[in-house]
Amino acid sequence: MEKGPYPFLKKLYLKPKGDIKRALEGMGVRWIRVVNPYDVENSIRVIGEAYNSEYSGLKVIISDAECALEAGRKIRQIRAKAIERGKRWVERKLGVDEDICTGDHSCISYNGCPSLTVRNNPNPLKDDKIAWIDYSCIGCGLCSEIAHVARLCPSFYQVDRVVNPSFWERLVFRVRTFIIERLL
Amino acid sequence: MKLLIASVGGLGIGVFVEWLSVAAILEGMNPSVLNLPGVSQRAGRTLSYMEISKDETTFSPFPEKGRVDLIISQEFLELIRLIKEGYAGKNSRVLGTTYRYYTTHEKLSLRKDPYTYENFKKLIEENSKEHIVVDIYEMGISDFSNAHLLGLLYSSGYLPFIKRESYEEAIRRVGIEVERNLKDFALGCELLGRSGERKCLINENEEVLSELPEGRIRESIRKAGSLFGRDVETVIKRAVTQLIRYQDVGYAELYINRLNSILDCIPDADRETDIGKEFVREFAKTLAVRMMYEDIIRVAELKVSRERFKRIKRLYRIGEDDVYWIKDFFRPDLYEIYGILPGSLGKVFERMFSGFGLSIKVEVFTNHVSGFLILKAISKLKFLRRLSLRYERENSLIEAYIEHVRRALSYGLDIAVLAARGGAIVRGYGDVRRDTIESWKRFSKLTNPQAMSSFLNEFFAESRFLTQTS
Repeated sequence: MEKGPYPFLKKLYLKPKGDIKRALEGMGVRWIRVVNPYDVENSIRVIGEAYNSEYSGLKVIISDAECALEAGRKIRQIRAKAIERGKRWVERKLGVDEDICTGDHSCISYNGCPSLTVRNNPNPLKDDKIAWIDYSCIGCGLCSEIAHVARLCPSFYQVDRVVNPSFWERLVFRVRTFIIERLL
Repeated sequence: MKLLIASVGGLGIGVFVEWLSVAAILEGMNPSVLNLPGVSQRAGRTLSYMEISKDETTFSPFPEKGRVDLIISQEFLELIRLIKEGYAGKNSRVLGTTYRYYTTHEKLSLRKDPYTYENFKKLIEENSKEHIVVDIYEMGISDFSNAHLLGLLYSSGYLPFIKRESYEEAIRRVGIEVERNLKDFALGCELLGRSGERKCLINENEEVLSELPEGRIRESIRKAGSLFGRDVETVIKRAVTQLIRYQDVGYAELYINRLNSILDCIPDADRETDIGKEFVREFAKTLAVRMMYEDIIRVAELKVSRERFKRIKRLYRIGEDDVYWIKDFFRPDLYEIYGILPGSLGKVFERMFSGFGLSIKVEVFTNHVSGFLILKAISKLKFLRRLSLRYERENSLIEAYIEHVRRALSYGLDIAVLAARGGAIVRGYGDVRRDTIESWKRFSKLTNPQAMSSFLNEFFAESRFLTQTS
């Protein structure tokens, strides 16, 4: 699955008009890589590749993805229309498990997202604040990606709430939930 | 009526002011609004100045210091800043919440937030006629919104001329997330009458303890309670409850033994003093947290716990009929995996794999049957825990910690408090944990109380122990 906000709509609506890569090629740049900045691991690898490559000359890395805030703004009307017409829509949010977070705040030092914040620890035995994702989260998934790549911790999770699911998806969900409820 | 509304960019002050204006118009009043936007998209200070009057008189386009009738704030620090800047006068009323929008620097700090209501209560009281500041966490609301605040404003009675129906009509007319906001508004109206409902992981499980037979554990708790006060008794009770959930009764007994071995070292004269009580509290807490180290068994157990599914549904407002998928991100390194094998077997693996900085990237859909079953199966490996390599290592670290506290205790209680607190340095997963363990080892070599306290200060003020791995 492609990373970043609204991956399923990217090709449809958020494609920019120009093609930066072809423009650069036309100007004679030979070393060009296109990366998705939401895929942190790959981006780091490509930057390393650029540093270590034998090629001498201009090296260009195009960081090709929509700004998550901007995409959120663009998508607002499309979303309202799609939901109204009864199309399937996924509302994505990230979260941090309050009992798994140990309060080391290392995710925050790698990541300046305003939605990734702290709150009081619900466990009275622990004094320190824990990481916490605010309701202002727009679901770009960068915090979990960074925690994943930097091997920080398993506290992050992603919740996809499906609006207008198909009959089949609803059925599958019901069956799975039924089985899990029995096993809990 | 002059209103000053303060917020932080991104929280939606624009919508709030729009609701308020529309509601005032519906009541036949004449509002005039001046927005003083800061970095209105993200995290800058934003202000709105509003005047509501019966006729079309506007007194001033800007707020005058000391002459504002009502200050409303969505964020606590902004409220304090407005009051310190002198906008509130003797006749002002103040309405706010304890919600904080932290800066990145504040977020990095492990310290407690100094901007609490308790610390600033006096300042607010001195500078206003009356005030309402609600603690949203206390109310059990995790996602405080504008609509909650609007409901709070209505129920405070600070704007007596706007009726409830007008607010609701205004929400409908502005037309943003109408249903959700109406629901939040209704909840906000009840907030003042609500008593504390802090959702607490632990209280729900307190009954585990009451099922315990009369025995050494209960006796020890009672004894500690009579010696050091109720506060300490509660801490130990909670620790025991959590440890029984974490492993079993035998593990809780080990905790009690360890605790008693230190408590017996405290001289009789010091037991009644405040610092003696503080030491016991710190040590009891830290020891319990250290004994509940987070291995993959623990993580898997928490990920498939019933409370977690409930919590996620509550937080993301998922209804009974809604379809949702949870995806979890794991990246255990090899040590965390072979660490759950019995000691000698684990060491064989360690010899084979040491030097490989490998870790395994796993993404699990926790509410798919397969993902759920995998996690559930791992969580059932609890019986292996006390035989495992990881346990062996953690245990020797815990023993070293206790030994360090005991040694510190022989020098004096003030040093012992620092040593007890120092145990909390060790935390995190994988590389972070290894780094923090190194930090603690450096800490445990310090002998001078000043050096110890400045080490702790530095550590808790910034995440100095960050790994350099990626």
